[in-house]
Amino acid sequence: MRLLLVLAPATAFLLSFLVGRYPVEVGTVMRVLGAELGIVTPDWPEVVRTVVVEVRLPRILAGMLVGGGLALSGACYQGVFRNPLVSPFTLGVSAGAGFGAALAILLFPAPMVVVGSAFTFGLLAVGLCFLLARGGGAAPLVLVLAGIVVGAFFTALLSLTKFLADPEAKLPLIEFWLLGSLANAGRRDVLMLLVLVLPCGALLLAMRWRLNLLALGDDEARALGVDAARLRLLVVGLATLIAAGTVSVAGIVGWVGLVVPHAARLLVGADFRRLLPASAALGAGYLVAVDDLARSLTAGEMPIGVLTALIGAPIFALLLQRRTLAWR
Amino acid sequence: MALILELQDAGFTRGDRMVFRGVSFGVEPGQILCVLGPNGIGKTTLLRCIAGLERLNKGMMRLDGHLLEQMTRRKVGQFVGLVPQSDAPGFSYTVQQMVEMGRAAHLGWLSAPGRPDHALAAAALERLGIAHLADRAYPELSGGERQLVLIARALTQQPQLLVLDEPTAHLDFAHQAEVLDLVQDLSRQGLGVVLTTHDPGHAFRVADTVLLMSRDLSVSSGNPALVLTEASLSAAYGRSIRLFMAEGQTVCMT
Repeated sequence: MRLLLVLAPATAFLLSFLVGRYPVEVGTVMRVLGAELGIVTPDWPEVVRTVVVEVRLPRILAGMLVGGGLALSGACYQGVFRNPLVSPFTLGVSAGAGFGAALAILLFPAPMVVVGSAFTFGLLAVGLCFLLARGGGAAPLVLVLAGIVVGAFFTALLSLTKFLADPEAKLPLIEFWLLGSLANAGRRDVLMLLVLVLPCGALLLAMRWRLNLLALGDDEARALGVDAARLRLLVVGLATLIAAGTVSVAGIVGWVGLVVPHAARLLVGADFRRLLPASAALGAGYLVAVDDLARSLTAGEMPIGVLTALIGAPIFALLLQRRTLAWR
Repeated sequence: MALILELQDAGFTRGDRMVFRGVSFGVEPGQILCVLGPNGIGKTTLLRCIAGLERLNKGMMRLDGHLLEQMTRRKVGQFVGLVPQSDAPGFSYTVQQMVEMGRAAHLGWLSAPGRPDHALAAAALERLGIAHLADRAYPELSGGERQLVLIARALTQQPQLLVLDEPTAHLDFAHQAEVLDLVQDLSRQGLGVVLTTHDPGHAFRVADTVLLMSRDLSVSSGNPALVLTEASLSAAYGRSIRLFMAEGQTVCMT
């Protein structure tokens, strides 16, 4: 099982270099990557290097970081909220980021401004949730309800920006962003994801045993000597940073953070010591594979958010049918 | 001997409803305190206050001489082990994993249970006679088995004060007796114990001190034989209760 969880993303990583209009072989890919690390001396045309390193590598890395990040974040959310139906987007991070991106496309359509604005408004939405839920002691259910309120508010703001947007030039850009895509993922995006996802993810992984205690519920965790409220704030904070980072780079890629943790739980059980690494590995492999479909199914680009929903919803329905969905 | 738990004139209100007031008692190492009273009288709330899950509105409480307000959550967790009434299960953890979670207050922030912790958990399971359940999924157990797992978890916590909320509630006759024996064993090893029960017979059997909570918010505490009389029990529960001696044990009948 452990081997499978390492092999699946690694295979997806390598095979993804082969997908695309310019044909490359696995051996070539490995040698080109080796050359980048200074192990092999290049004996191939420059265009091969460009395709592998400049075009495909950033996109594949972005896909793995987004998929792994979303799945990790989703598994944390589900544990912290003791609820199998929450995802990284439960606290309105997607609605907030969607509005932030749309606003930036409307006013300053430079790529980094769009990413930065999406990130900022995504975090703002989650911050508002916590502010709203403070009256209820930031209890899980109150937070989820606050997420619905904040999400609805930012969705309304988003509709307003869409209404104001120029339907010829701006509106398609906004729509395309909202559907989610890795088509524009470049080196800078990968760098941002690396800076965000790796440290936050590493910290979550380092304290993953403690997540089990939060999943028991606040009272039991506190009776066992754990400051549940503070731990939850920390975990949700880290998971939200990851979610906001992925959303601002890739747009709204739904269902990954919801379905992948359930699949991982089926494979390795509920203990977060195994669940978190498994979720991250599965999520990374899954999203890269789906992105390969997005690049190759049609002549143009399919929005990846559409595909993850098309695939994720039936899988979720299947889990529901087999009653493997809940906690057991 | 020094008290490991001390309450003075403790009171608790929820909203504008007074739950209990004027509760004073102390527990020494090796002593067993049994809390009795009708349903809804605030026994569980009192235990939650002792475990630091609720805060008293009135009076004061000390654990090992320290005021509760001045202790960190972690310190309280190292000192008091709470056995809650077994509730609806969430994630499907194995029994072994559940019991190891008792180590949380002793482990650092980024660490997980290691070999000594595995051993402590295994020993606790052994002691409760449920070592064979170690790999079973906790939510699939019966209510009584879950109760025993929660006790094992509290032992793994290595507390000096063990607080049990109706530990015999879901147990069959034999297991009730075993748990009461275990509680007595633990107290002989120096643990202080506070437990609630619905059976005055249990109090006669194990308690050094009893606390009887009545509907009129009056509270009496002291030696079981002095506090638990036919008159006081009948008044507390609002129904005529009679006590009999059988084979050296006091039995309670309505």
